Amino acid sequence: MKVKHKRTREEILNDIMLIVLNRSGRIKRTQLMTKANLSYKLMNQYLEDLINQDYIDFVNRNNHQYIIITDKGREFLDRLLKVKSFKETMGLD
Amino acid sequence: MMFSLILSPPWFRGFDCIFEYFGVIVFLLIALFAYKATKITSDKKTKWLFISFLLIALSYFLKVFKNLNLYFPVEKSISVGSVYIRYTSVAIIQSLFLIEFVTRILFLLGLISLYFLITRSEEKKHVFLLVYLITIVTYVSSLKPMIFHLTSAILIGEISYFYLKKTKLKTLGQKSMFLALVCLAMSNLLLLILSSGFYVSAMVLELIAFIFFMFAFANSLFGSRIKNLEKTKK
Repeated sequence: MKVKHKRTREEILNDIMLIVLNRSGRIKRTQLMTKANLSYKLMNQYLEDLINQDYIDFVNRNNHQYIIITDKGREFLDRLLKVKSFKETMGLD
Repeated sequence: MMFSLILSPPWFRGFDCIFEYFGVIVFLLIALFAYKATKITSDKKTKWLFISFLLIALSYFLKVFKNLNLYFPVEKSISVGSVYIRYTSVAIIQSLFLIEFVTRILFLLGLISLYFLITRSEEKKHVFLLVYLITIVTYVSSLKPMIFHLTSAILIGEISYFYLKKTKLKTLGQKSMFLALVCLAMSNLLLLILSSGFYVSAMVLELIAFIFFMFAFANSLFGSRIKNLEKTKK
């Protein structure tokens, strides 16, 4: 079985943002935890990081709390995707 | 030992400088983006990529500077009594050896740095030995330029091989990057033959390599980004 390498911090942040974007820009905490393959504690640490930087926000709809991506978050994700693609082209990833 | 300082045929002088000046811009753009990427992700690999491409860009910049000085010498005049003497002088002739040495060592160090990045070599203890050997190769190549071109061709060939093995050329950008490396290696092989005809062919191949580098860089920033965003929206 091929063992996947340990994800770096920016890879995890990238994954979290992509998952939220893939779910039409909003997702519940528990869904994100499963999709991002993170423990509840770790996920909260990363979410706190992203909130402090204004990349994501929480909204309440139908008695549920959702995570959404802000405009600043979209810009950050765009930059991360560019860097990822650049690293792949240069043979670094 | 005698060897010609200028390989370029008279009609081609200046064109090679334009080609290589384009190369300087391409390598600087790649280096600048690698620097920007390092700022975003704090990744050591992009930091080394920045250093590698900066060294290569500086090397080409010095080469263009040297060639322009050789091709277009400065006209000077002195008067000794009633005799007026006009002569042409190459301004950098005294420091030509040093400029040539720095140009070559920067290029080889840039390549070695790229080689370590692509191969993900952990053998850091060999770095000092390699730097020493590169200094020796550069010094010897002052008398035998073909040694420099042979070393460059071998290094770029190795980088191309490991790049192919590592990336499997899945994207258009990676294919373009691989072709750029192959063209650059072939250009250095052609420069082994010290003739003006081969020099022109080598420079044209080098220009093709720069165009491929530029395409790979642009493709990584724009082409793939749009694709990724489209994927995420599905």
